[in-house]
Amino acid sequence: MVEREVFDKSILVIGGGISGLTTALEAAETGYRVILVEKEAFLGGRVARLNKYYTKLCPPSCGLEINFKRIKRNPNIQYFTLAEVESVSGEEGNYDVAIRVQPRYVNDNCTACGECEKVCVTEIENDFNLGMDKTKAAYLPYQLAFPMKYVLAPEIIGTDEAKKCLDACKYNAIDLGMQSETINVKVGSIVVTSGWKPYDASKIDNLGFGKYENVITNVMMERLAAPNGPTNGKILRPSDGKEVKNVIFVQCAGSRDENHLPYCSAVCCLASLKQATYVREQYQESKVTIFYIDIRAIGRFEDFYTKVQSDENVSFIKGKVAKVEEDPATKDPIVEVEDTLSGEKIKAKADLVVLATGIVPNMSDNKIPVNITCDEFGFAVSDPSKMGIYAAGCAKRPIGVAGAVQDATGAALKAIQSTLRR
Amino acid sequence: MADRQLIEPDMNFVKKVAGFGGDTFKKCFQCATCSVVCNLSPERSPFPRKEMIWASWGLKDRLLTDPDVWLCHQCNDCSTYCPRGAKPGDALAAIRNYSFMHYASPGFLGKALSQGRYLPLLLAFPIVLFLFLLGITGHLNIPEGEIVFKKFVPHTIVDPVFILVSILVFISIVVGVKRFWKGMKNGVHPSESRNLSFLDFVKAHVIPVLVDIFKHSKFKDCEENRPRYLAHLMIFYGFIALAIVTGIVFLGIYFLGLHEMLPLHQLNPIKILANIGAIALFIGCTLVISNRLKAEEDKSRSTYLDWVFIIMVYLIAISGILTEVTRLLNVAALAYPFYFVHLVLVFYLIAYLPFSKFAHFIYRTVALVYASYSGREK
Repeated sequence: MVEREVFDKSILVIGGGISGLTTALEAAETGYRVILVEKEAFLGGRVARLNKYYTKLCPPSCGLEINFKRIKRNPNIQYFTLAEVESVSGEEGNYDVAIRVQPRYVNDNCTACGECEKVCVTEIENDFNLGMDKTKAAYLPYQLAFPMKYVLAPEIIGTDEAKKCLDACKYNAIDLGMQSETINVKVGSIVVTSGWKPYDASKIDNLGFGKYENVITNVMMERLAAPNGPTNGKILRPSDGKEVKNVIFVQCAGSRDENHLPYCSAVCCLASLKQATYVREQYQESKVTIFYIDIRAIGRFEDFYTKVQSDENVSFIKGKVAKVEEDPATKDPIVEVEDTLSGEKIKAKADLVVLATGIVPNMSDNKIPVNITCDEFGFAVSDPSKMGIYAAGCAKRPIGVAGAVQDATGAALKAIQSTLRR
Repeated sequence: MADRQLIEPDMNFVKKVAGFGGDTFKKCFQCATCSVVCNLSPERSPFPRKEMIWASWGLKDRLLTDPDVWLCHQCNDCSTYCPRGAKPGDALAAIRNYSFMHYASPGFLGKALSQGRYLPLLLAFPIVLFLFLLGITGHLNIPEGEIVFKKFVPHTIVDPVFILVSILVFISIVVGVKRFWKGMKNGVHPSESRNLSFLDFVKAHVIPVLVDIFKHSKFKDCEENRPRYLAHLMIFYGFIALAIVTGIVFLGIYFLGLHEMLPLHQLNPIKILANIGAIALFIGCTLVISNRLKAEEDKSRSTYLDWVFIIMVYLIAISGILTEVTRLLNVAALAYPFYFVHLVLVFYLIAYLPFSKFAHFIYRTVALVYASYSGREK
């Protein structure tokens, strides 16, 4: 057990995605001390896995890099990766928090030279690419990972392979004796930015995900289109690596559906519009069809919708896809839908079908040991009787990156106020 | 200029359909999941998405002349996949319930059949009628000796009543079907007048539909609710067996002069058919009732019209079986009262046929024939 010296009036941020980074930085840059806890081996969360943001279509690295630089420069932020909050007690202004940190088996000496990876042979599922490819058991989570440090997967610890990695390291950066540790800290307020995960599309039994290889989800599409993804940014379909000339997007795949997620996931319409541009940019003669109930491009996003609509190779058909089958010979998925404007049933074949799956709050099944009020779906709701603990970003509601950043900035102020109220 | 159409919403209709168990249809947001998951829905202008918005808009004329409402066999695939809990299956059932009332004449009977408070009155009518007829002919007592039902209710009393009622019911059905057919012809899925001889019409459109009905092939296409297939099949064939038996006995007594043919010997093929029919009816009803009780409330809800119909059929089967069993056990004090109850219930079923859910077999058959005739089917 390790006691960390922390200043008075410090703030705990749970979750190192874009919301957590923002809250931590905004608070730290006003002079408050912040402890940031992240479950994964790197900061950046879901945003790090995107190819581009909507609607500016710039890569997430630009926003994340600036934030990582701010963290590096700021002595007020202490961050823990591979860490989860174990327990919280106390009240506003005075919380005792235990943080459990899992061993990385790699220390700060790591220069990310990659020698350990070269000697490692065991492969594990690549979480960063949502399991679409494999990575070595000695790995850098992704090229721009922050912290820029390798990780040794627990799978090889205690084997000769781990020793080989140790021997290969010229910088004395591998520590196979590393143990998980509990760190106790005192904080004045807590911000929960535990984020989201994509809805499990295999639960939508009529849309064929998990049954047909060429039915993928929108988050997988981000990885396919991303230069650091499993196909190096070339959008190729999973079954045979064929270039995709005809892509169908299925909106509301699970969202706005009482059998799955009764709420609108808010980002999927824009995500599909954005992903339509990925396909159109890569393959000049490609065709994209978006099947929808309503396109929810609210506020200024309407302009982006109009822009994508003006591409004559992108068509929009009003009607929800309710059945997906597969041509067994070509493995082309076939969607079935009623075009509600013409009242005709359509069977459309495509190279690739992308399900616009929605946002599920991580708190829906992964309860964080903090006293926070959640709704029936696991989204945090503001509760005036529970001052001192706040939520931001997708822990609160489905929200895009820009909105999450604004929300997280507001949460920083709330957290600061709580540390002063004592 | 585009065609303009005046839409006439009928708010009263919206409320009525809601009252018949379609109270969830307003939740529909027109995503059309239902039209796709339905295995019976045609490619062109599929149902039930369009019916859902017509119901919300109160477009009564369209719905009442829409054969699609009857192509549905209520497997509830649509309600299972509906993202809004709008239960299209229940909405179409409610529209069908409304149709019985709409097409049957005289109209007041339709209204009476649709409301629970008139049930005692509807049952009281045959009870009083039979008691009165038995009273004036001096048969209001339990006869002595071997149990023979015509000693209690002579054919001369019961048969004229049923023959008269059957004729009236037949007229009512013919009137209803004519209006229904004409409505469909001028409705949302119109059909042009074709020069088709009656024989060709029957060959091309009636016989294939009847074959489908006898095979229950549409029921088999319904995925979500397979148990209904067997239940309905048993009731269907139970009824047919009993109708055949009734027909043969009627012929025997009135056309072959076999006045003493009843009661039939238990080994008589006609009697065997009757017994099989009764048992099929009983088991079928038991299955239907158990399926309906087990049905998840959020997927499908049974209404008064569903319950009153299935329970009546169930009671007919039970009272018929009890009548026979007590007769064979020679318990006159029970056999005759059971027989009386059975007669009253059979009267209820037959006399009120055009106004109750029982009429579904007529309208559905007609709609299926129309769908075939107008090229509506897939």
